[in-house]
Amino acid sequence: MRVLFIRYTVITMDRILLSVFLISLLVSISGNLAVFRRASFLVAGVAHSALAGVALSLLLSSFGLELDYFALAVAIAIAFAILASIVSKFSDIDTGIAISFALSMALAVIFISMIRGQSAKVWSFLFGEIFLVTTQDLVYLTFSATIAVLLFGLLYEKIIFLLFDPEGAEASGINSRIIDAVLVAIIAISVVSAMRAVGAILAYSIFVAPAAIAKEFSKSVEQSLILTFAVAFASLIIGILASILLPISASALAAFIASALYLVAFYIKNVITEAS
Amino acid sequence: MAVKAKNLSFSYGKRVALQNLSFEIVEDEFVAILGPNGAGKTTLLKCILGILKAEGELQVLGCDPRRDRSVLKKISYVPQRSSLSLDLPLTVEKVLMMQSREIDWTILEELKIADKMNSLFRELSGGYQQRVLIARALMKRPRLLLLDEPFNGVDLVSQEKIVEILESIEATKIVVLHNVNPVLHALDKVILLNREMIAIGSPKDVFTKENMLKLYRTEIPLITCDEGFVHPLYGDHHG
Repeated sequence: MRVLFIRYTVITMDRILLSVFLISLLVSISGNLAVFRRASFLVAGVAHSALAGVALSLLLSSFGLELDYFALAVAIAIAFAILASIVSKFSDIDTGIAISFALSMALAVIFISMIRGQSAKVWSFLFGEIFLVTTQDLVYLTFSATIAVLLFGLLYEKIIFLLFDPEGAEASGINSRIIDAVLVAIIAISVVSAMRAVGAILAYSIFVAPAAIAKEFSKSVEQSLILTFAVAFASLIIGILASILLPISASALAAFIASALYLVAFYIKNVITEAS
Repeated sequence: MAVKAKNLSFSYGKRVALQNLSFEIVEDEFVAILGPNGAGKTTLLKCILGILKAEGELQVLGCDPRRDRSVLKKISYVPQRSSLSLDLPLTVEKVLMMQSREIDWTILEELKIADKMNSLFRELSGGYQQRVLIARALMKRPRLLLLDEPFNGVDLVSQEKIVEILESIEATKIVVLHNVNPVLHALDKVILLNREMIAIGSPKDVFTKENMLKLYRTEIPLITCDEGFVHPLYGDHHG
């Protein structure tokens, strides 16, 4: 029994460590894209839109129609990101995101209230729990990380040019609509695949805080990616270890640590700036 | 002909930004576009680039940029610095490499930024940032160079250096300005624009009291300097 327990723990820890690695990789890419694009709230908007997708998937499942939550969540997240982009053309990006965010949250609650018998499953996506990551979730994380790394790697120069100088990039012949759509897609699949582990509510902290910290101290984009990965990885691991000792959600602890680290980093940066 | 437009019009939804513009810009001319805020100056540049699809006839370096995007390889655009995202930690070298794989050290030395390659772009002064953007544009060896308000927030020394470089390069140059005085002596043509064409011609033909009144809807004093150039006096700015 002890051997079985140890073997189970090792397998579980392997799964958790792999999840943490993949989530940190996704945070490194997507978090920086959101921060550099000045659309950090897009992460929150995508997370809540994805929740509507998950709720819809469970609703359909309760009526006997099985549709994979991942595909539906990504589709709805991207649809709302497009809606945010359209609204922002008439107003500003913050208003666009806020409107699509509000709409998707309302839809999520509507779908949840209509689900028969499985509404508890939605809460696991709302708050997240890294210890509950399944093999299927790992597959989604691996798929998303592969796509994110490939797209980011192949389009790196165009993405950086567009983020830095949107007008100059368009004037050079870069199709800004396509590149922007790719950025949104990377953010969408990253957030959706991490939702089971970190939750829709806490995804914003996990994805944005490490990138915001890196922005204060990095001297290059590459440094920013590495530092974001390190902060995200450390926050998640510390959250998990603390959660073993304390009866508190690992995801919540990780989000708290990441956000608190940002405040510390902000303070240190101000001290350094004043000293120089 | 570098740029030829006939009855060019563009609207943002129901708001008319440009109305029936017709003009020609000959190759190697140095042209300034002047007008108040909201006159459509940046919009006109974007229409020339084909980023905004204007109505009417338009030829840029012999092509219609709305249909033939390959013409962009011969055009360089220097945007307003306010449109840049300074959140990205990019060195001067990284910014320069966005337009060209090879660094032209002659241009960097002319603009006195050769020693700033490893500096972060966002930590440079406004004047040096503008020099970097111009260097980036020139490294592409364009036939047509478009600059949008290159002197905003730029110190006098950098302004002079930029004007010196612009005068020396062989290309058609179209520059959007609020204050024309730093480049007045180098200009071949001025376009006065306030959604529609107010005037087009040489500086001395265009800068008249009547034209300035039509353009700004207020009187702008004009002064003739010792070299015979007519300078508009904007508030406390004068050549």
